[in-house]
Amino acid sequence: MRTATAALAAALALGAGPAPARPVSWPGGWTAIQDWNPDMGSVLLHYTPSRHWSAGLAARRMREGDWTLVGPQATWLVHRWNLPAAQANLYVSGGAGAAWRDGGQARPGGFARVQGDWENRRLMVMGMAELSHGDGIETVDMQMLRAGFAPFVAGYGAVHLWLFGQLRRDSAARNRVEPAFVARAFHRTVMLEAGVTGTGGVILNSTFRF
Amino acid sequence: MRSILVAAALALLSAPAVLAAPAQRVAVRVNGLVCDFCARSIEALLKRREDVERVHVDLDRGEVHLALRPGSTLTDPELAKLITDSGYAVAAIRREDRP
Repeated sequence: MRTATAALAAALALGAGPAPARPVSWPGGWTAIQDWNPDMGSVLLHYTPSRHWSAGLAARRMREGDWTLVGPQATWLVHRWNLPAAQANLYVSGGAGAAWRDGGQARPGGFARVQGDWENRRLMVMGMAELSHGDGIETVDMQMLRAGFAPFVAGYGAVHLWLFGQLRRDSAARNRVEPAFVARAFHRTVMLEAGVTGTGGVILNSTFRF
Repeated sequence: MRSILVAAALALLSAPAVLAAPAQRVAVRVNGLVCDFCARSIEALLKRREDVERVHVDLDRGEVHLALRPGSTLTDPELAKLITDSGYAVAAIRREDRP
């Protein structure tokens, strides 16, 4: 398991994909998402059969607890509100697979997440709550809240920029509430995020759709 | 033999009509159209159809503009389903024929 853990940690450190990004794509579309922050890193490759749900393979590294979870993941778009000048979404995600602490035996593990967002062309708010469990290893709960704005309104096909303030609480990080600043830029089907936490931690996320 | 000749004559007469069929431009007002990254789904699904020549998303007006090839068979209900399948809600469809 040490080799697998090392390989996964290296892969997570090389990439970047935001859990906050839209986790369901268009029917027949693939999405690669990577997430990196001081408490956790994750990679997800998923396929979207219909506009209601997606399924894929995920790997997540709980950096605070030094354990890893790998397995299939599914996301259900519970509801989307398409308004004349805004959109809101409610998602539920879950995954199950093998979990292991560094140098330990693989055990059953899984996670569940609920996530919601609202945005218009200028403003966006997003919230998320997540529970991760590794049998005999650890149970971690996390909540995150983001709010941000677009400093300029860009047209279709242009580079879009968003600036967010973020609060994140993680039980694995002694329940501290960590503020962060995150900048998001996207162009066509590529989204990149970079940020810094209140204690100087680095946030690097990215999403690629194809 | 006579019926074959009649059929051939009809085919020849109808061919120019098909060739001269006007290109169609369609404007679809779409609710929820606020994000470029997400609206790629509309372009991805519409461009799978061979009779869709061009797709343009106007985020400012909340509209999707299509240029359909001459002879396109894309109906309003089919178009509405494609937009809905891409995750959005259709508010109105407006067609304009142009030679």
